[in-house]
This record gives sequence, C-alpha cells and structure tokens, in this order.
Amino acid sequence: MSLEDWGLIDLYVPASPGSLMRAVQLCQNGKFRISRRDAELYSVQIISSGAWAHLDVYNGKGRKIFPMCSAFTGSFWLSAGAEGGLIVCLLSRTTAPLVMVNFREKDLKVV
Amino acid sequence: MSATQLYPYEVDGPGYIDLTAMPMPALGGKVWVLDRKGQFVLEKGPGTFRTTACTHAGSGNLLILDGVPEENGEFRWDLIEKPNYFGNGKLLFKANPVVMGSWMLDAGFNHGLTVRHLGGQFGTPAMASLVWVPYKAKVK
Repeated sequence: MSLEDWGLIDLYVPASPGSLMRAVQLCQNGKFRISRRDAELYSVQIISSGAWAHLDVYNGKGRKIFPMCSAFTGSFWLSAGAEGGLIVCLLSRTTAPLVMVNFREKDLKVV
Repeated sequence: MSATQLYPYEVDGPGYIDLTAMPMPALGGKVWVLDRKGQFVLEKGPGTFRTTACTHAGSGNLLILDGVPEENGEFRWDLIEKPNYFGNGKLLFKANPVVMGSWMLDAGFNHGLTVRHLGGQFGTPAMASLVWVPYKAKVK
C-alpha cells in the first residue's frame, strides 16, 4: 500500500523567526501529514489520552518512528530524524487523543 | 530456555540482528522502533544514545549496552557485573522489568550500541522508540 492510499490530510505548520521549532496540536482521528521534507521529530506530547485511542508517528516514507498502541498522557522527547516528512495517525473508538507534536525543519519555509 | 538466553533464531546466526546499515538522517538522530524480543546491534562505533521512549512495557527486561556481542552472541557478564568496568558491554540502561516512560539519557558510548530485550513471554514485547547519534556521522 503506497502512501497515496493512506488518505492523508495535509497540514501546513509554520515556524516563527527566532526558532525553527514548529508545533501542531491534533485532536481528531485521521492521518495527518504535518511535514513534507526532512524533519526532526523533537517531541510528542499526549495531553489527553482520549478513549480507546491509538497513535503512531511515521516518517515521510511510511516507516514508523513512534508507536503508542494504547494512548496515555505524557511527554516523549525524541529528537529523531524523519526522512521525507512526518505523518501522525490518530485512531480511537470514540474520543480522539489530544496530541501536540513538535518538530523542526532546516529553515523557515512552509512547504 | 531460561529468561536470559537468546532465542533460537539468533543462536543460529551471529547471535544478534544487525541494524548498523541504517542511514543517518539529515536532521535529528537515527531512530528505530523496538517491537520484538531479541538482541539488536544498532551501532559498531562510538556515539551518543539519546533516549528510549517506551510506550508499552510488554514483558521481560531491557538492557542497553556500550558494546557489541562477542562471536558467541554473548557479552562477558562476569566482567560487566564488576564495579568500575568500562570495557565492551558496559551497561548504559537496565530496566527489569521494562517500564513505560520517556527515559532521556544522552549517554555516550565507545564500543558500539546493543539493545537486548529478552525474558518474559516471546509474544509480548515492549514497544519503544530508540534514538541515537553516531559520532561524526555523515549524511549520505
């Protein structure tokens, strides 16, 4: 199954001058592509675990780099390389988890 | 088979699964998701082990060692367990049993990097993201 068949929702996340860090908060089920080029997954913060929820973070090539098969709250620092971008998948039976993902790209461009 | 022995698929080979060919990303460190039991060599030179983000404890124990196994797939446990041992196989992290959490280390290693997740039930491994950076790594 190629990434084209994942049903990805593209989100564009800006960075501000002074820091390359970008932050996006996700709170509904779906597969969100938050970056489309090489990135560094800095941290994943689960603020609410939702109900029967599951989340995974993939790099832009579809390789899983952060799994959470049963969501629970917490802050996970990674600083992990993500080739080709970042994809966050949230899945739950009823209430989606509330997740904040922090990441960096090489410059301030929104691509 | 005791909880500390290697599983048969590893004993038939070199005693570990070699993951050293993973390319260095342009930003951030190398990352690999641990989702099975076994012994895995992540690096064969020096570097920095950054973190273990463990989101599922599973069963068994988790050892992260500064070094690579010997030809028989084992480490010199008689030496490792002595105080002030800094040679091949020095322990960087030990969780017995595995504990969920964000275990941030930024620990330097000299001889290589091996992850050993054994014990407990074979079908209930932990799940964790492991991040490390080889020393003077070049992006290909």
